[in-house]
Amino acid sequence: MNLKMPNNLFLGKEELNHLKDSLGENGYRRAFKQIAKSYGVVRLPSDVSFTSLKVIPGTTNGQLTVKAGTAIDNNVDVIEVLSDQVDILTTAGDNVTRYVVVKYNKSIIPKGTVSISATGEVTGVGTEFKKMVRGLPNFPSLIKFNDSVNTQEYQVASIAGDTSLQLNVASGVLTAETGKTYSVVGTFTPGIAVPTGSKYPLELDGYTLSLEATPTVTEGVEFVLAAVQNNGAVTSITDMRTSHSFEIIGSDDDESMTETSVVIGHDSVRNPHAKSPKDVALLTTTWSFNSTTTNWLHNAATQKLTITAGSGGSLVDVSATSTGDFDGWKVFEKNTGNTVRVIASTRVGANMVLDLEYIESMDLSSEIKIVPDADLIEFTTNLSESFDSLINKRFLFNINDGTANMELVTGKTYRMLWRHIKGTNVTKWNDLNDGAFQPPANHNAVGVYVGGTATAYVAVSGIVIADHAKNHQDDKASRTDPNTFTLSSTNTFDGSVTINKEFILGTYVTGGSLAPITNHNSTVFEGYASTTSNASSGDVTFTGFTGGTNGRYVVFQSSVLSTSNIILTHDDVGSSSGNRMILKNGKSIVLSGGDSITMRYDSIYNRWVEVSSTVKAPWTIYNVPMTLTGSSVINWTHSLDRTRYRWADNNTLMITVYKEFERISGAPTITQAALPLPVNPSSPTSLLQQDVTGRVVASSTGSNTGQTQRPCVVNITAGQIRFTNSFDSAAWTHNSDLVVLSGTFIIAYA
Amino acid sequence: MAVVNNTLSEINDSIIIPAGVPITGLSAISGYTENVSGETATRLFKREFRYSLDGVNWTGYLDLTTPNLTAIPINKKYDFLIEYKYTRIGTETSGLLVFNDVNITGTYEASECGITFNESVFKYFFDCCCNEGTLKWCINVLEKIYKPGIVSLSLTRGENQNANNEDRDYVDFWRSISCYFGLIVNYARQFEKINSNRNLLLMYLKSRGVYVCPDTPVTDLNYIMQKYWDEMRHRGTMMVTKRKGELINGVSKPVDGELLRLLCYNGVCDEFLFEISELNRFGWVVGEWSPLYKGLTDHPQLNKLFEKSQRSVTNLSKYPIINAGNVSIAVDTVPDPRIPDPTGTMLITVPTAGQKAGIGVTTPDFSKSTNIDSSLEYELSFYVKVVSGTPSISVRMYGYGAVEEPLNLRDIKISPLMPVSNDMIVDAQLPTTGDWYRVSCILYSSTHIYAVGDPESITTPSIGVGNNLKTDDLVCKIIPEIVLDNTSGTATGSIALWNIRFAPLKTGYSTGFTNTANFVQTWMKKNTGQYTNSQIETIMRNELLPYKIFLKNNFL
Repeated sequence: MNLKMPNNLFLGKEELNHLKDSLGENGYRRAFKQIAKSYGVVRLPSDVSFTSLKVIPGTTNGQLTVKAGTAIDNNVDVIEVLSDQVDILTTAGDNVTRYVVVKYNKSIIPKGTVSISATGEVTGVGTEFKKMVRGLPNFPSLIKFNDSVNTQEYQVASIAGDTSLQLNVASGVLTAETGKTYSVVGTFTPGIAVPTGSKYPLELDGYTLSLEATPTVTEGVEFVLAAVQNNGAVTSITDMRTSHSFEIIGSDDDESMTETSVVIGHDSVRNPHAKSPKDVALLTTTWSFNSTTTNWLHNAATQKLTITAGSGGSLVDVSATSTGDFDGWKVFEKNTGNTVRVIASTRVGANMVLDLEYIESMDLSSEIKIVPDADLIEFTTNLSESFDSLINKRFLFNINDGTANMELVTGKTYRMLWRHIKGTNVTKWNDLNDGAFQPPANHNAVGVYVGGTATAYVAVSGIVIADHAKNHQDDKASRTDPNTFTLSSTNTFDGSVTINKEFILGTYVTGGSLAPITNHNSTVFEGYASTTSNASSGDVTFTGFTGGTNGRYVVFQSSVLSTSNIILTHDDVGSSSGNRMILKNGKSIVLSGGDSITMRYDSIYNRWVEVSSTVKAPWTIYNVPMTLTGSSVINWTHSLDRTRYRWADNNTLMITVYKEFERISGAPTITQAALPLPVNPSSPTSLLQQDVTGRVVASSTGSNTGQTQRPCVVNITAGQIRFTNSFDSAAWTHNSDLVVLSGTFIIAYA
Repeated sequence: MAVVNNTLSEINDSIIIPAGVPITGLSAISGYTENVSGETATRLFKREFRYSLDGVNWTGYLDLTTPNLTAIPINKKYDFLIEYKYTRIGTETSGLLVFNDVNITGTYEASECGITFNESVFKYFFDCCCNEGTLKWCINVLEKIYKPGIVSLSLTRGENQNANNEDRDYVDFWRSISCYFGLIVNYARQFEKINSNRNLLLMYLKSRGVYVCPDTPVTDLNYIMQKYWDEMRHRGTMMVTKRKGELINGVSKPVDGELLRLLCYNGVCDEFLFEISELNRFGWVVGEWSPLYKGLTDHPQLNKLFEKSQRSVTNLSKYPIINAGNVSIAVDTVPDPRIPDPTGTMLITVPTAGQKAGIGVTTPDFSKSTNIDSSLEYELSFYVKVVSGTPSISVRMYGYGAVEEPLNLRDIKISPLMPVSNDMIVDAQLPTTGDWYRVSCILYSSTHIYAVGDPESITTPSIGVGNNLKTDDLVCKIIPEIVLDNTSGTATGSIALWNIRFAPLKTGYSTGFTNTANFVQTWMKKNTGQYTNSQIETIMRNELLPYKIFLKNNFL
């Protein structure tokens, strides 16, 4: 837009307005609007403490003073408060939150006040008559006094200085007054009835300061400076200027840009798809601190947001945060998309408390993300010295996303960097820790790369990790604390898993002491890899467990606090068939305090199958030699010299007879004898003096093949082990051939 | 025998009043009137007349009596000639008989010239019926043709003096011919007297490209004809705008300037203003002129009163002065930022009780009045300061009509009637001594309408007191009055006046031209019907004004 000015051009209102528009509306205003990112309070570099238009307490409670300063609205009109406006506003002591709002308005009242004499002499205080008005002889200005008894428009005769002028009036026209303001009516063609709207051509920058309980702020036009609340004794003031600050696009020294991040870190590196080739790894990186609903609370009156729980990036929970971590960041409300700037962040006990700029309300059902005050975050790997095109990548994400996945070619060495982008401002590139793949010494406590040389690039190579590997501690790239992976569905690691460090199974601890009853179809394995139960009120029996899935391993332990036994019964009909247990030697097992059993569910058996069982106390292997000869093993005894025993077989509770029976002549009739623990141990809980039931498997070549088992009783006492019942029984008649048993029982003792 | 002029002193003295121009259109005669004196019973006139109905053949003398006159067989188509003979008779030899005039009375019907004549070239110079030269020449030649000697007597005529119209055909035939030649002769004779023939002068000047008003006096036309090159030389100069009688280098201008003649300017009442704007009085000159401003403040060439082109007061004879003893010229030497170089001011001291002094009207001096146009608005302005004492200043405006009759103006502040008033400011005092104030009073046009709530900038003079006036349709001259009024007898002291102006208030347009030189604006009333406004402007641009001017005409 332009106005050409050739010779003989007529300059009328239209041309001059066009010229004005070309210089103003389509000139500097348009240019200004092009580069202005937001409108509001101007903070000059010299305003280190940011006092521009700051609202501070006035001289008495309830009164408010607005400091001198400047704001610019979206019409590029300048709100300029030249001096501190002391006690300019007063808020009632009713504890109601009100807002100090400033708005530009055009003023026709020049600076200063005037006194008028009856002789037409006008004396000003703080006035600038020489700048504002003109006297005789050339087209003298007309001025008018505001709120004055002198109601005419008066011609200026002469100007003696900025504070003194003489009006062109006859005697008796004026009445003396003081403390008045004046306006410049202008100099118009005489005899013209000038419309009021055309008068006062000298428009000045003015402003309106107001205190509103429910402000309806027009964006870019009105600016909330502060929220104030007076309880009658104290007036609290929440500064809200930074929510309404003037910013220009493209400034290289934007002080509000966040250049570092306490949060940013890699979450995981994994194979993006279980069935896909392993030549691409998916790098998951987080730069926001997140808190879900119920874990945060917003107080609209105080504009404080309290976070009780949350995590993100390198910060595993609130306890990992520190005061000041989120100063100048912004809170992104996921449900509404609203953002609000964080003025200050303070650790208060176990919580992180954020002082927010003004936001009318927040959706408590929303997840929130605390992100740096930027628009975008950019990652790059192409600043490496490598010219490998497979390495050079750039990724750009909305800062409010908080988390993003980036695909990288495996088998390469990367140097990952990031930076913030706000408008056209960008921060410098920062190195980014890759977590598990970078030596910890090269990173600081928050996971930012600090060590090594430029060549100490992150190695992201050879990653073949099943999906469920993200549950694994080592897969947490930048975290130093334990982590919990909560998975909602069945997950499969389709490959070998090597765990180099501690492997801990989650344990369900049943509360208190179990009731001394028999439990059928127990659910203590539901949702847990291991269960620990306390049996101190008497022996507790389990006949079966729910939750069986083929291949599932469970560990069941009697708490070390148990003073009674926990008895697991073999294939007990008390439970449903699919919940029963197949225990070693087909015998029930007694778990005293600290003892445990590991079982694996077998879908073929459709039972829990004992894999192993352990006892709490260390045992000494005690070899018990025995020799049985003759045809009867009844009442075979062997002396013991310990008070507590159990059968030793690789820490199992089964007794193994290596050579239980040996045929010495004739056709063999007995080849094996297994002696499980008693199903229902009687008190006391030790194994002492408890009868156990063994069995004898008949030879298929025996004369009576219909009897394949024979009961026997092994009695273990403090002083002996004895078989208390004969192999012979009512239904069993052993061969006439003499059976000789010989061998060694191995038992352990504590 | 002594007949001196129209006086007969002796018996038998006779006066013959010969026929002049034949009378046509006379349809009946009812009598006669005469103006004679000196008749007594023994000293009286013998009245006789004779007449001719064809302009050639005459009757014998008959007594001038009403019966004899009414008995004439007149016809309106006849070329009727009548000749009177007054002879002194009676017995008295002393005394004088005086014959003044005699006229016949009757019925006259104006004859029409007919379309043939009216569309002929003759019509432009004379009428068909009454042109003395044509008819005289016509009758004279007809008589010669009628009488023996020119036309053969084989064409019989005149045997009975056309007593019974028996020669009518002959007479009518030759009359047509001789009268036609009479027209030609008369037409030719017009060019013998071009100096006195307005039409020929107008046509001559027009044919030479000179613009004159049809009403321009013949003497002026003659002057223009004679000074043709001077007139041409005046084109492109301010001389085209000068009025007849205006002093140019001490010499009175003999004729109106060509632009005034083009407009048919009437100096009695017409407004005419012609300004070549000063360079700082149009366009955009910071501190001097604004492109959107339409006022005419301080345009020296537009000042219509007194010392028109200067601000200082140097010659009191140019002002209508009341109580000249209280008015003098003083040189103001006190610098004041409000007025530049006030070398000469008018010092007015308070007159004796009951009187006023200053610029004003006791007996109107119209040489010090100015024409106004009732459709224009004017501003009377002056700078004033109190030199001493507490004088009271009054400002009035007096209006006059076309014949200099007083006409009242009207007060625009009191409405809706706007009562008559000539007062603008009455007995106003200035609050300080030694400070210059600028007083501006507005005389609005006759069409100005009262509006409720009109601001003071409309209704009130610049110093905040008094009231502005409006003019009346009939007002075409004004004389302002700026006086110290001591009717109370208590006023004291004196005032000084400077830069007294009366000029149009504003234009209807702004003058925001950039880099334009020679901006000319005019206010003028067009009285001629020969040209439209547009034609006049074209003539001005093409012939009367320099090519490099930027012209803006305001036709009133």
